[in-house]
Amino acid sequence: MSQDLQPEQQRQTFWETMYAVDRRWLYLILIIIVSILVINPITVPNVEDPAAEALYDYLSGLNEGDFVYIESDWTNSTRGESRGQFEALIRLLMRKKVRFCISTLGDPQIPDIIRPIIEGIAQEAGSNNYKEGTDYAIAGYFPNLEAHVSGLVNNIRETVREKRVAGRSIVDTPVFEGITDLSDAKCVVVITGSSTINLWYERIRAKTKLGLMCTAVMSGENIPYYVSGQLVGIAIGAKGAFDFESLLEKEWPADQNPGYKNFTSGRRYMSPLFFALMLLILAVVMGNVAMYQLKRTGRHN
Amino acid sequence: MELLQIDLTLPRTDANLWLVIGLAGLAMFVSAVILFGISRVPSNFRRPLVGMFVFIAGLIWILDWALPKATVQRASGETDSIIPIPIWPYEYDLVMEKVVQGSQVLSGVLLALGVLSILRVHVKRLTKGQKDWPFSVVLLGSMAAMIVIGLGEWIANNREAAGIPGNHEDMKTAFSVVFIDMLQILDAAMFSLIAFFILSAAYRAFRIRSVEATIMMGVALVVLLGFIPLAMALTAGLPTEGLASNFRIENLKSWILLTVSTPALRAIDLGLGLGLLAMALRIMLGLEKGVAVD
Amino acid sequence: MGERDYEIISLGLQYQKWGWLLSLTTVAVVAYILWGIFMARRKAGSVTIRRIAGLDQIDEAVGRATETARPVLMVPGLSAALDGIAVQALTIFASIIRSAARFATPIRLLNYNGAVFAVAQEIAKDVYQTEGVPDRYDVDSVRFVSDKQFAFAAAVAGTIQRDKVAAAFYMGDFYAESLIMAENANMVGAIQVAATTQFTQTPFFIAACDYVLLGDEFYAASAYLGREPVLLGSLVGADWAKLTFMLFAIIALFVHSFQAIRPLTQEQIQHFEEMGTPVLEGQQYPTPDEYFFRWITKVPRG
Repeated sequence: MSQDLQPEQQRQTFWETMYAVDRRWLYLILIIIVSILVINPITVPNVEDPAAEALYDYLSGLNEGDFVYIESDWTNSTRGESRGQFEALIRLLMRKKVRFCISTLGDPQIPDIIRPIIEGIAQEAGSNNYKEGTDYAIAGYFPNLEAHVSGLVNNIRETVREKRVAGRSIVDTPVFEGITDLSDAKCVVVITGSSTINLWYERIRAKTKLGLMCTAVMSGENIPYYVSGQLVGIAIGAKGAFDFESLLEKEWPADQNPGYKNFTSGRRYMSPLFFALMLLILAVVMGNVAMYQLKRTGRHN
Repeated sequence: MELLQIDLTLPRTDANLWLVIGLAGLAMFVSAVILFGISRVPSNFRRPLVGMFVFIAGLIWILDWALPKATVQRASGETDSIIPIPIWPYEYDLVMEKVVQGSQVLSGVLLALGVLSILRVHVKRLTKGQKDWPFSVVLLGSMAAMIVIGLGEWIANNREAAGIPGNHEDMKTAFSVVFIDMLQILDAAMFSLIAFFILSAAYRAFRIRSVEATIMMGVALVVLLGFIPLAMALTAGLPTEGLASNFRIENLKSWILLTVSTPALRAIDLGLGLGLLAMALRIMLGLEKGVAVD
Repeated sequence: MGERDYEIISLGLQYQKWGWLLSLTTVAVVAYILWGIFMARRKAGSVTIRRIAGLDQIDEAVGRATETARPVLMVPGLSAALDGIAVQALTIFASIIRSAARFATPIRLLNYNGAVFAVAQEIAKDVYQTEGVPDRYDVDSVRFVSDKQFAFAAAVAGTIQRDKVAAAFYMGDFYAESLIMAENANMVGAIQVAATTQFTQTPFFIAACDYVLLGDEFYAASAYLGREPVLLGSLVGADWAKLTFMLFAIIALFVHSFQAIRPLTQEQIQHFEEMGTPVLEGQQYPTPDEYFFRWITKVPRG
């Protein structure tokens, strides 16, 4: 009799445990999975998100010598998502020989973070040996968000005139040749981990296209603007970076273009992300099965 | 014409430095007198006074939005977008710029109040040896280090830019260590904690307790699966064109995000916008009630 | 006044194309709200407001904090300045502080912004004075913490864990740090009520908190707690504005659907091209099954 009862009791204890797993166990499993996969990434297949593809296609369709304005607001705190997006974007623009100017609103340190990244990419094969002051400009940090965005829309040259490269104002360099108004730019791309994009929605007045690369958390509030057509496309989180990298690979396959670096942090962070998501789904399903079992046996109140 | 070209910036000379310090002192004295004056005004007069100030402050921003903006061609040949209404002796946009600068100065002063609050709380905890005082030591120490190193780097940068010889690199390295190598990494560490908290919160919250919860969980699972390429393999057998293609996980996910979730978010956003507008209107017109405005 | 040194090329930029519609809508909404206030003031007591569960819990949460002698935590969000959102949050907190003052419950009001902090301090002092218990007010209970997002989050999480708060109220602008705070408070078993204007954070709060005010319930809170005719009237005005928007949305739905089942003429395609919103491939001639399900996922993106 007692032997019959014991397995029953054990099973119920198991479901009780599964019903309320100590969160520290979940954290431990997550940290193990993510650590292993960050160090040892697995190559995962990709299906590109249409919204990210729309942004890529628009930028990829630009002609040599076109001008794009980039506002890069990410800091180290969101680099897991933003850095991959930024790198892929810069690679694409350099390969297409599109001129660009970058300003930052989030943090005074961002120019110091992005400059070495851009210089590194410029050295890669396919990057057309980009040079600061000739092919691209870094307008640096602007502390006043509203004034900067309004200024760019109203008078782009005046807003960035004070910034200098090699002793002359960036607007006198070839980067700004023929650019007298924001409408001369083909696109404004905002890479951000905060809500600085809202200022652009309010102030751009349809002068040019607006593209967004944001963190995954921000996707919900920004997808409506993609649907309404205010955004030409939107790359979301690490997946957005991976989408861009996959599209780069499609356009310039590494086996046909020796030395081309298409995949970097976007792909590296993909497998930890996928397995973390699968752990999340597993945990949710398990919790519910446990709840069902406890209800069935009448142990759940 | 000449009035429009008044230049209030002074050349950076030693004599002007004292002039600027003197002017700043005078401005502080005048502000103190005004503040003292306001505090002596009986409260039934103070309220309309504050109300009027709030109304004017709000009106400035409304006018900035509503006054017709124009594309203009300057005598120099450049085009510009401005509000072509001068408020003597400046252009409207310049006045606006000064208002923005003024509010920035004000928030700087209020930040100083905040720093005083931090000092008061933690110095007290330290001197009285209250519970957790070692944390206060860490906080005060790191705050002092950040201020000193931050100022040091600023001075080093300025001296370097002015061509003053000396060792500027040490301070810059120190700043880079405390800011980029420490503060930003700690920032990133805090951010990454969210991954853990999402896991535990989802595990606890996503339970099938009611019909609504079941629907929410089902939808959440579809969207989550839509982000996982391995899960997309589940429905890879379905055609990519035609009616059946709608049931591929990635298409279901897109449909949920764009067609179900987006309108709901728009509705919430609209409600929030209207609420904020009503709130702003009440504050501006002095109709707001409650402790916060009395 | 001197002469202008510029030539106006084009005036009224923000009213050109469809810009005037935006201004007209704003004026209409303002008119609705003022009308609502006017009507409510004339007939006081004519407006009732539906139950908001989260706000009914304030007294219970504070009561529980009193029983356990643990503090009540309040965070007025991460507004970059003293904006309407922060003021609204502080208005709600004023009622919470009032309950706390009555029961002599300790409070912790942690601030991210210097201006918000300065006002919060004055409000707290005021409430304790109005309640007739100025000696219960602890100057250190309203604190400025940090204006760096994650430093702030770390400090709030630390306060929650060290002081084992019994109740936590998050009202205002929150970003990625929302879950850090809410999960920590959940760990110490606090009752949590949250309301945020950043709706991307609402799901996180729903997962971790006991009560969440959705969307504009946040702005309805002061009307709910105070039942002042002016506040209720402005709610009514905003609701009428919402109904008008709904009406327009329904009309647009029919117009849009009608458009969807009829192919566009060359003339119309040309028109959209000129307006800067070209018609995409596949949208001129939607097929019935596309129209049934798939097409609606591909609304024009201009």
